[in-house]
Amino acid sequence: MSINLDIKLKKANKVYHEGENITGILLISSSSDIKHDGICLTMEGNVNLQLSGKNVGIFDAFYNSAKPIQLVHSSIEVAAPGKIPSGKTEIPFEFPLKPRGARSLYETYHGVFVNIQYLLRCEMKRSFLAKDLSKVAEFIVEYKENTGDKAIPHPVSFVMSPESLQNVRDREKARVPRFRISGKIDSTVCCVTKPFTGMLIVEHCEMPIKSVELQLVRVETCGCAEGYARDATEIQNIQIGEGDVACGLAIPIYMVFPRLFTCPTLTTSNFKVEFEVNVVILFQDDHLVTENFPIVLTRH
Amino acid sequence: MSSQNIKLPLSCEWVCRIRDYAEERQRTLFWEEVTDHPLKPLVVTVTETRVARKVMIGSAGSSTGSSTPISTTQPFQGRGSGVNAQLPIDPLSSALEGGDPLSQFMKEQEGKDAELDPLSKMAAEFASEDGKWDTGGELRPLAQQNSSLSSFTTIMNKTEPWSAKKAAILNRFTTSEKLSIVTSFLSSGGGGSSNVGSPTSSPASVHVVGSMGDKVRNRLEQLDELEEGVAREVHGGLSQGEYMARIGQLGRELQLAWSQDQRVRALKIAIQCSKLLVDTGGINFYPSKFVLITDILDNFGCLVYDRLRSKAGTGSGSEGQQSSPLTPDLVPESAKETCKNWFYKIASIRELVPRLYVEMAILKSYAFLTSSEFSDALIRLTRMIRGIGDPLVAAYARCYLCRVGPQLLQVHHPSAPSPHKYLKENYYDFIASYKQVCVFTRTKVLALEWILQGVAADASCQGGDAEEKALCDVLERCKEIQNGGLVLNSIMSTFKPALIASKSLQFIQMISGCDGNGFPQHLLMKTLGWCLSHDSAITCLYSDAMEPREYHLKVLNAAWRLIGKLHLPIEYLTCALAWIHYPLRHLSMPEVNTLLGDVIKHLGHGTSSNMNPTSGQPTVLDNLQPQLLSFLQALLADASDLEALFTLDNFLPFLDLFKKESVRLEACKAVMESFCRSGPCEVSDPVLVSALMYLCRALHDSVNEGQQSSPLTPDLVPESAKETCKNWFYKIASIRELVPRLYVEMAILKSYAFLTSSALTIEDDKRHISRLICSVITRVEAGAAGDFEARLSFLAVNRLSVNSRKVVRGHHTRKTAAFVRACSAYAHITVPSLPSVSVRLSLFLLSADACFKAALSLLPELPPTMDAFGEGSSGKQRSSEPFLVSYLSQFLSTLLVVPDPPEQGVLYLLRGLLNVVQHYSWLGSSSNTGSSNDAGKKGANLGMSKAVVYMNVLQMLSSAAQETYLYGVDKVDSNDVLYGGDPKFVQELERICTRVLGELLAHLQYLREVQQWKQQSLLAFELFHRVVIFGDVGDPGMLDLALSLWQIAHSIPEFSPDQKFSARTLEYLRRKGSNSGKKGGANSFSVLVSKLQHCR
Repeated sequence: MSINLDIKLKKANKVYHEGENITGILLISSSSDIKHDGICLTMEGNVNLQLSGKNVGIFDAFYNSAKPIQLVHSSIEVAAPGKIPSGKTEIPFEFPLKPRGARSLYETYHGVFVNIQYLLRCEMKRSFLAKDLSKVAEFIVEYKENTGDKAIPHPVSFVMSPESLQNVRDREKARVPRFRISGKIDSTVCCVTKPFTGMLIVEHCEMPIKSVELQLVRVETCGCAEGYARDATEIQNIQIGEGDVACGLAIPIYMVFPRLFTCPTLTTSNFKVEFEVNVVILFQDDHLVTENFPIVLTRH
Repeated sequence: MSSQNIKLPLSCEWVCRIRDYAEERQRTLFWEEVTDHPLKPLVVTVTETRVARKVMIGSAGSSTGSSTPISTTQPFQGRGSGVNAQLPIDPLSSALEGGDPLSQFMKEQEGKDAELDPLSKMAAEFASEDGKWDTGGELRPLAQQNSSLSSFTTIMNKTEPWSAKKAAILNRFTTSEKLSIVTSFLSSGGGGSSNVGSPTSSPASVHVVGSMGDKVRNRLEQLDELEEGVAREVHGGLSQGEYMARIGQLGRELQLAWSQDQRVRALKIAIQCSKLLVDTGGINFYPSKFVLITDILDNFGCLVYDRLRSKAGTGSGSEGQQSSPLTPDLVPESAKETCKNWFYKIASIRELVPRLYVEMAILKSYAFLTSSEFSDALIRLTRMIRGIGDPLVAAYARCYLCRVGPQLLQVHHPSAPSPHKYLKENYYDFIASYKQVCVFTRTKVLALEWILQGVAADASCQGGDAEEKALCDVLERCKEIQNGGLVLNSIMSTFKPALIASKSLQFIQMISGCDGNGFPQHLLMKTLGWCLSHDSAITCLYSDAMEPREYHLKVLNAAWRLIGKLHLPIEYLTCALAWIHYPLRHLSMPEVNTLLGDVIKHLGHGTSSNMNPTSGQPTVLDNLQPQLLSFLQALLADASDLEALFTLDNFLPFLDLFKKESVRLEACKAVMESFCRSGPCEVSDPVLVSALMYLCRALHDSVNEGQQSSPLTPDLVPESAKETCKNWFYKIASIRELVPRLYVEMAILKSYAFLTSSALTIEDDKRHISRLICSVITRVEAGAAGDFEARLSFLAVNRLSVNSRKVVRGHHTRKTAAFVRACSAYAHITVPSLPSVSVRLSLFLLSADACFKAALSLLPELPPTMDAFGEGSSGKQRSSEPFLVSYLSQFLSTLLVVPDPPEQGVLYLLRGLLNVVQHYSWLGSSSNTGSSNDAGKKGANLGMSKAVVYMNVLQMLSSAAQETYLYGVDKVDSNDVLYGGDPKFVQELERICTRVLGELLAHLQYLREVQQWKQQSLLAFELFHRVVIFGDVGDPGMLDLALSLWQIAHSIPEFSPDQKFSARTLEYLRRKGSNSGKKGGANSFSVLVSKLQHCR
């Protein structure tokens, strides 16, 4: 005897906006009749904050995980205690996606120290002897159109050269191989659904280049009683130049923002989620030069 | 006189009796039935050529005789079937493998034409010999094919040429270097998990199926690896075969993973595959690697696409929708989501090259998302490829993009005005990166050509002058770079030759601008020469308003200025080879002459300067011989007017450049071949004749020398050489004028050595020559030169034929068959030409009979007696009529087996003979004797010989009407095979018979007039015999004839034949009548007998 519990959302991409109704069906399939003590469906949205061990003591990190912030929570009983006949049973449901109280909904975001997640949790309570059944399905929340910031193009030009290096002392700069790489970022304010674009030109370079990469970095800041913790971690690293790229040729900078792992830049009283892009030039001798671009992500 | 009253028909229709020789024989002899033939295992007939022969013979008229393959192992079972069983060993039916020599000749000509296309030959040669810089001979037709496309839809079908090209690439780009592969999906066991059929056809597939335990362990390890995603194995030191096997295995793994719904794993495998393309180790193998891996990627792309398609509901079930473009609006959300997921996933691939390749592979699936993405995506990808530092890797990535791009149209029609902008962009980028790294290898050329091909095809389908514009664009870019040689070369080999040709001056200019560092100039010139020679419609478009001729001349001059500067003779010659077509096609012979002169000068100069003082041998020229040969062949192939070519001042000196014996021989052969091919030749120009003779002598000399160094063994002579040799003899035999023919023939007489058996060694040859010389001396007084030479050549042929016959002791093996065929073919040709010769030589009438004898002895299988000939024709003016009669009957019996020449009428020879017989001033013939009745006795007597000859002719003709001849000659198809008793043929025969009979009857009449009763009765009785034996007395006319003849013969008792003789004749007829009486309706003899008795 096997019971299958499944939550099916009506929207294939599972993306919902504030104010919309989350509709779907609960799919129960079983080879025999099921007796249950009620089926309950809960919608919840939480911000989970995690303090990294870097900023606080390990034990603190272990114990003092910041309390999750509940953004939305509602629960309904889709079926009263009783029996479900064998075969497939579909139970439709609908939740209005409304924030709790005066809070606002943040976009779904999966990070390291900050996680914003929206879940549908279905629980089938069963009698004492049988195990309770549960099923969790995630849905994604995005800002509605006309809410949040709009991406206004903000192009940035840059030049990378030994002179522009910040962490090299002046007298050592002579030892750095001569190079000059210029480039342009089409906008540091970007829409998450649009790729990050730009171009760079290796104008000249003494040392052969091994790789040119774009590093997408999230910067998560968690505030808590002791202060705040700010951590920058890599989301992805995209190679845009492989090997010793030709000089004078405009190499496109092109990166698609990964879903779930990016969201519009978010600043709240408790936490912040920001993003940066590093342009990394990796030389053949494994030295590397990076240029950092803080970026602002928007939904639209 | 009673005989006067007997009505003698003035003419009578002759009806041949069809005889069954076998039955006749059977009746007289007793045969013992045997079950097995002692020689059975020896009876072997080669039947493999039968199929081809059927066709040939069928065209010659009838195929009944020889095209029926008869089992040769059949033992002789009694006489009845014995005749049939004998057929296979009957040389007539089985030996002449190629039908009659003429059709064989034709066939072989066709073969030659097909095989000897000099351009393709040239291509093949250069592909092999000039490998380092080879620009890919096989690319060329492809490019042409593509550039000639008129609509863009056909570009989509590029997949087809691509697959054709794939094999070529795989064959060409190989390496012996050790390769290494980095992967986490391959078991180290070397294919332990690759039991999923092998869809790829890797030439060396290594299937080491590990034990079950290994397999399980490998699987588990793989799972671990998958989960951890870190474990990597490096398989180093792989040979190419192993490497390819690994790639194939990866492909299968991918397929397997996909079928097991492990999409992520499949994607990972795809990524790893494309990662392999980053490694340029074993650079020669790279194109092959590229092919193999893109195959896998293509496959992956299709898998993804098909899955999405099925998700989108337009799945494989509905064929109708397959063809219609996708409209993203109709794609359900879920399919879109999956599609997006794929692209997101791919976008996050860390490394650039795999990301690009995988995205290109699944680019097609963009159709599910948007309708405008394609051109943007293509441009974006094009630009992203710039990030690949290694030019080779980048070039191939571009190549893949240009290959994938057109396929997108299959799923989605673009709305953008120029959907293939990216092609050009790719080219520009390629050029840009070329500027940086000037080191280019042939591996890159491939990729470049593919890109350019795309550009050209795109332009050509836009119609109008788009293509020209594109070419201008491309050229403009090409100019920007320093050493654009390689690019230039690719351009020339990609765009339409016509376009290239119209800009040839510009090209030459650009080529001269390239120094030799990047790409050798001579190869560029070669390619340009190719383009020009491939262009068919050059006459129409020119940039400047110049006279075509002026333009061509200018081009040629400009080109030759460059070519002339080439130092290495080989480079020079290859260019010259490519360019020789140009003046031949577009300019006139004087230019060709100049060109030839330059070649001679150049090579001659190069030779002298490179002369090795120690050996004193010009080695350079020796090395160039094959090139020279192909040059010559090109020259011959393209020249429209061969005669003009041969008579060029520089042509013979050019031939002098062939120093190596074998090549020299080849060259002469080539010239003669093309000469022979040039249709019916009316060689009248003395210069040409002398040129030909010069060639012949050269050939002859070389054969001579060759023989001195090592005896030629015909076994070793390749079939083609033999064929050529035979061609010669055919052709020479058909030279119209006598004197040139004889000269030429004499000159090449030695070439027979190619055909004769090995036993005919130098000694034989020398003896033969000395004999020839002897006979020359004895014949010197004989008369005019023509006569003597004719005899000489005939002698030689005969001698050879006899010699070979002796050598093989009458046993025609396969080896000698060719020779005998050649001889018979020779005779075949020569004999028809003889009657005219005899007419010409009628002045030498007295020795003419000797000449006839020579003509006769030409008939291949009648071993002529040379000595007898010598005696018989000692030139004395003695009456040779008795000899002539016996000789003519012999001649006639020989004629029976001589097949008709196809181009002449039926029994052409016989008619000729009849003409001669008729016009021959027989001493006793009616025209002569009419005036001198005194010499009546002698004259009448001699007049008989003519009648005898006529009667023999009758006999011969009747025999010829048989379905199967009484006798035949080894290896010769006689008329029975040729016509197979065709009613028309028989009719024709009977017509001639009737005419001959008419002559005879007229003679009888004449005899009666001059009252030569004895002669008359003799003749009548003789004729009666002929009629009875050879004619069909069942025919009423014939019956009447026989009756009246009998009566005439017996009309005057004192002159009538011997009583006993008549009685025996009657007895014979009676027996015959009773015998044939068994068969219904055939007892015409008994009718005859009864009537005869009645007369008596």
